[in-house]
This record gives sequence, structure tokens and C-alpha cells, in this order.
Amino acid sequence: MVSAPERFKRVSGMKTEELLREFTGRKAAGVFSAYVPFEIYHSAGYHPVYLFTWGCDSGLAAEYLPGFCCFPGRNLVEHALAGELSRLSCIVFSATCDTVQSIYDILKVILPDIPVHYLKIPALLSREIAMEYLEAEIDQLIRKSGNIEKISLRRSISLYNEKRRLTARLNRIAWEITPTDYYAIIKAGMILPVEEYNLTLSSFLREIEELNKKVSPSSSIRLVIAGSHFGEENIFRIIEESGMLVVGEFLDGLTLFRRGEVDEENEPLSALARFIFNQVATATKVNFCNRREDYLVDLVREGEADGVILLRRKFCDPYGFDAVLLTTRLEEEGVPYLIIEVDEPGYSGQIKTRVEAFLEMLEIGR
Amino acid sequence: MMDDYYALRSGENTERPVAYVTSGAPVEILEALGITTIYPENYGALCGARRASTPLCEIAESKGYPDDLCSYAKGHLAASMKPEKAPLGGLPPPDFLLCCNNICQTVVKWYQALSDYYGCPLFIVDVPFLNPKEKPEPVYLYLKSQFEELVPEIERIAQTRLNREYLSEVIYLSGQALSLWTEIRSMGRFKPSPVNVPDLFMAMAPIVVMRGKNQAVSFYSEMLDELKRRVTNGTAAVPGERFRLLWDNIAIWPQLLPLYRLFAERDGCFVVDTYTNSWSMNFGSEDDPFEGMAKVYSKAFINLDFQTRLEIIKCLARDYEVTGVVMHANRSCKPFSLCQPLLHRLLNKDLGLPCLILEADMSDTRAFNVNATKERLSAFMEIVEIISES
Ligand code: SF4
Repeated sequence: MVSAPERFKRVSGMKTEELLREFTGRKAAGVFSAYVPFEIYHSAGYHPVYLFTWGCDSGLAAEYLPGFCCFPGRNLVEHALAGELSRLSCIVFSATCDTVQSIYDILKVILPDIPVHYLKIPALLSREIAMEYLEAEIDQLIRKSGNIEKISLRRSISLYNEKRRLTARLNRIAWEITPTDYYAIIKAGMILPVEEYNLTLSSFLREIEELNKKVSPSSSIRLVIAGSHFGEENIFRIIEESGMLVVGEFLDGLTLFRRGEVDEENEPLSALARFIFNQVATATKVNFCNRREDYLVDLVREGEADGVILLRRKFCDPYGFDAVLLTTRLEEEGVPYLIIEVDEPGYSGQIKTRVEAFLEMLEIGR
Repeated sequence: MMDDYYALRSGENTERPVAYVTSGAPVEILEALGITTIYPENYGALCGARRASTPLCEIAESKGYPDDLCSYAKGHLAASMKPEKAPLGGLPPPDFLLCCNNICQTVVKWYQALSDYYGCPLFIVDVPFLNPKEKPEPVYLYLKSQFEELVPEIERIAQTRLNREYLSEVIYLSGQALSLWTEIRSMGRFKPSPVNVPDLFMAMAPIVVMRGKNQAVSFYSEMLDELKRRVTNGTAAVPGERFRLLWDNIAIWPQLLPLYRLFAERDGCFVVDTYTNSWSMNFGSEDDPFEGMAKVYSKAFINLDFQTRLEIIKCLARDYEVTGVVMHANRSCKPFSLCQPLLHRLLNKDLGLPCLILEADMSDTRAFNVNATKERLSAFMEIVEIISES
């Protein structure tokens, strides 16, 4: 029998097409952007799977996109053109950035046989009228995804809430596992059927929690990793090789929802809308009540982190602005940080050198 | 006219309260409440045309903004931080900000950064992406509620109540300017065209920054009369016009005249464009002013889905008897640019139109290669000629 981390590592290393082949039993819904409630598709009988980036540019997308489109956008179009998304029963986007909107438009043309859905998420997530609008939008999405009985939606909500509780437990002990294991577990949560994920993760957590009662905390340098991330493992590998620990992640794209649970007592539609509203906004949105920089600083404090590695996506306006917002606050708080610009994935010696230099700086700072 | 506009918006001369607003914002509400409005995007164009944008972008980059970020945003943020290095000595600081995302999502982040920098309130009018074939009513309703919510906020800052009758007058004036602008643009249908798109780019500032004011109406009335005279006299914007071109995207401001001259030298006239099309709209005859505004502002060209935009461009190409399309792949503007290669394919396939994609930036000169552009432009015009004559 394979161990939990092995299972998570195996699926997190699979490309979308391989994944879909592995889970052929159910129709699959490919999700590309933040804020899409997986519960909806799960309750409609789909296997919702996040469309992480995979591989490097082959040049295929250049026929459809200018060079100044971000890598996640280029990569998705490449996979669509290469026929690697053809097993999907639908693709779901949400209104996040201008790039996502364009990629949605492009995919509708190049994949005419696959329904492409788009959930309009308000830009400002801290006012009631936007909540009402979002409820109506979620309702539309539910209608598009099929006939969903309330009872089955409630069941799915409950399963995903369970997943959220497990992930919260995982985050509390993140520093006790290797960064690449941590990464693989989080990523697998966006890919594996939720039932299997919950089962595997809960037994893994029990083991680790038991084991770690006997282990004294490591004295390694502790990091929070933040920014735009769509599934590239390398940065976690570099951190691991440098001997550092990841004590928290704030990677939009790797984790869609990070705060609280969907209220199971409430009417599902408004509970889902309220849940989205209570989230820390991604860099593409504004939430005056729940600011991103506050969340990052809390994460640093809670995890007793020595510093932050911030991934800034090339050709990405929202995360370009966000990096200034976050680092301004980190500077005010005296938290050291390193910005790494990411484009195509790949193991970069230059990034490794910079991470090692950052490590040295943090060690001296200690 | 624009000199006067900026003179009234500098230093002591500035009447307060001042709002920074995005180009597609429902400015009629502010106008009716006597707010002085300033458009950082227009300022971005001004900086671009004066070739002052690149040094400003470099200042913003030294403060941590990436080099691939929107150059209007970076230029304006830098002008806020270092007004002494900026044209006109920068812009007067705002009392509040009104951001409407019907032109892109980047403005939301830009205005958030401004709000943090100036410590002033930010109001966001959120316009969801619109596919007119899907039921647009929820979007209109959502927008109307936002206008209702916005009014008391601005009233508080303006220390006056909104007079709805006066708002209707402002909307009427705004509507007049928009209709005149639409008619001006339609003059490009004549052969030869009395107007070339760079003329429109140079004349578009009032439709962006003076909607709802008398000056815009009188300026465009005169311009329309002039164009009508040109038609009567057979005066061509490009003497010897042989090729009728469509321009897609924002202007390349630092190259405005030199670039279009290169086309004109080859008898190419830009008879129509997609950018100035954004202000060709109509408030309709809604009883409820907010209803009309909701419809107009949600249908901003760039807020529409690709298929709808494609249909609009095809109609423009047919109506204006276009023989070639030039697309500015504008590194700063993703919503305008990312679908261009697809647009290129489809216009080519469906209408047989030759297309040229020029990679540049609306205001940052670093993204424009003059020699490479000249070569590509010559090759393109040869193709246009061959196809037009075949
Ligand atoms: S948020 Fe940034 S990285 Fe993500 S799709 Fe949009 S432009 Fe690309």
C-alpha cells in the first residue's frame, strides 16, 4: 500500500490528462480560477479538478496569445490546443483578472464542444449589495451545472467543510513535514476526489500528530510563502534543499479558500455567497474588511516565521500591485522578505542562489 | 481647451472637492454634485504623448512596481510620488477616488494603491463582464443599486444634495456629446474619409473628461460641422486615400503622428478604430436616469465578451469598407490585447482581411521598436495593396 505522502506526491505530479484518465468514473469539471465553489460541481456529480499549470511553453499558444500573457494563461491555452482538456465535461472560470476573462473567451472558441462556465465575482467583496448579486450568480452557475438537489448540495458542502478542517489541522503542523510533502498535500486537495482526500489526509494527520508529540521543534529557518502560484513545485524543492521550513502558505491559486467554513445551517446558496465574502480576497479583488496584508502579517506571527518568500508572477497586474502592497506592510513590520519573479516553471540555479542568500541573511538576523 | 482644463486643475486654482475617476466611470453623478473630476488615464495619455511616461515608469519600478505593469498606472503613481518630475507638476491630490472597472480590472488595483498613498476614500463601481446574449438585467440591477449607494457617499463629501432634475440635465448634455462623437466617428464612412483616426485620438479628450459639460457639446458640434464641410468639399484626411484601415486598441501616444504618417505616406487612412468606439453610446430614453447609466456603462466596448466585440468589429469593417486591420498589441492593456491573435485569425478567415499586429505600449517608449515596425508596416501595406487590387 502506498503511504499518504506518496499518494499525494503521485497525484500532484500528474498532468491534467493523466489525472483525468485515472478518474474516468465520473465526469470532470476543470476549474481554472479562484472562488469557484467545488461543492456545486461535486453535488452535480462531477469530479471538480483544479487546472494547475503543467510543463513549459511549447510555442503552441503563441498562435493565440501575445507573449505578454502570464504563464498560467498561456499554459491552459496550450493544453486546450494540444487536446489535453478534451476529457473534461466542462471548464469553469471566475471573474478574477483581465487575463482570465480573455482566456475564457479564447477557450470558448477553441473548445466549442466543451461547455465553459464563468462565475462573476464582484470586485469589491465587502458590501451587501455585492453579496446579493453574487447569490444570483451562484444560482445561475448551479443551473448551468445541472439539476442539483439541495440535499446533495448540503452533503457536498459538509464534505468540503471537512476538508477545510483537515487543511487547517495540516497548516498547524506544516513545519513538521517537509516543504515538498506539504506542497503535495495541499495541491492534491485541489485534484483528488474529496472523499479520498479527506480519508487519506485524516489518517496521515493522525500519524503525524502522534509522532510529533515525541519530537522537539526544529530550529530551522521558518518561512511563509505567498503570492501567485499555479502548481509549480520547484520553489518548495529549493526551500527544502536549503534546509528551511514552510510554516504557512498564502498562495492564491494553490488554496482557493482559507478562512472558516460554509455555514451548514444556512440556506446553501446564501451560505456559499457569505463564505466567499468572508475570505481574504485574492489580489484580484478588494475587501476593505479583510485586508490581505493583515492576513499575511498574522500568518507570519502565528507561524513564528523568520521571513517571507513572495512569488510575483510575470505579466500579472494584480500580483504586481499586490507585491508592493504586501512588502510595504512587511517593511513596516520589520519582516524580511524575498521577491521571486516566476514565469515558466523550471529549476533555476539563480533562484536557488537567491534563496540561499536569503537564508544566510535570516540566519544572521536571528 | 485641454490647457484650460488642466489650468483649472492645478495648485491653488483647483476647486475642491477633487475626485480622480476612471475613463468609463459614471461621472454624471459627480458632475451633478459639483465635484472637480480628474482623469489619471487622460494624464497617462498626455505623459505618453510628451514622451514623459518612460522616466516616470522607471521611478515607479524603483519603488517595486514590476516593469510589465500598466504604464498609465505606473506613470501616474510615480507622478503622485514625485510631482516635481512629472508633466504639469503632477495632478492636485484627490479628496476621493471613483473607480469603475468596466474598462479593466487593473484600475481597481491602481486605485487601491492611490487610496493607500493618499489616504483618501475609494469608491468602486463594479461592472461585471457582459455578454449581452445572456440576460443582462441582473447586471443592470446591480449597477443601479451601486449608484443609489454611491450618491449619499458623494453627497456627504460634496456637502450638498443631489438634485435629480439637474442630474437629468447633465445626463442630457452627456448624451448629446456622446451622440455627436458617434456621428463624428461615422464620418469615416465617406470616401475619401474626412477624418483619420489620429485626428480622433487627438480630439477625444473632451469626450473622456468633459462628459456632461457644455464645452464638450460645443467643441464636438464645431468639429462635426468642419467634417461635414470637408465631405462637401471632397477634402480627404489622407490625400489620395487608397486603403481604408481599422485600428484596434489604444493609441501608441509617443508615436502618434510619426506612426500614422508612415501609413498615410502609403495612402492608408485609418477610417475607424475600436478605442474611440468606447464612447459611442446612447443613454436611451429611460425615465430613471440610473437605468440609462447602468445600460450605457455596462456596455463599454472592452467590457463585452469576445464574440460580441468580434461582431462589432466585423460590422465596423463592413460599414467603413475597411481593407486592412492594424492591431496594437498593447503590453499595458491585457483586456484589449490578449484576444487579438484570435481576432486576427477570425477576421482573416471570415472577411479575408489582412491584419498586422504591432507590439508596443500606449505610453512607454521602451516597448516600441521603430525600425522593426517600419519593416513590418511596409510588408503589410504591400499585402493590403495586393489584396485590394485583386
Ligand atoms: S491573476 Fe495574474 S497569474 Fe493569475 S491568471 Fe490573472 S494575470 Fe495570470
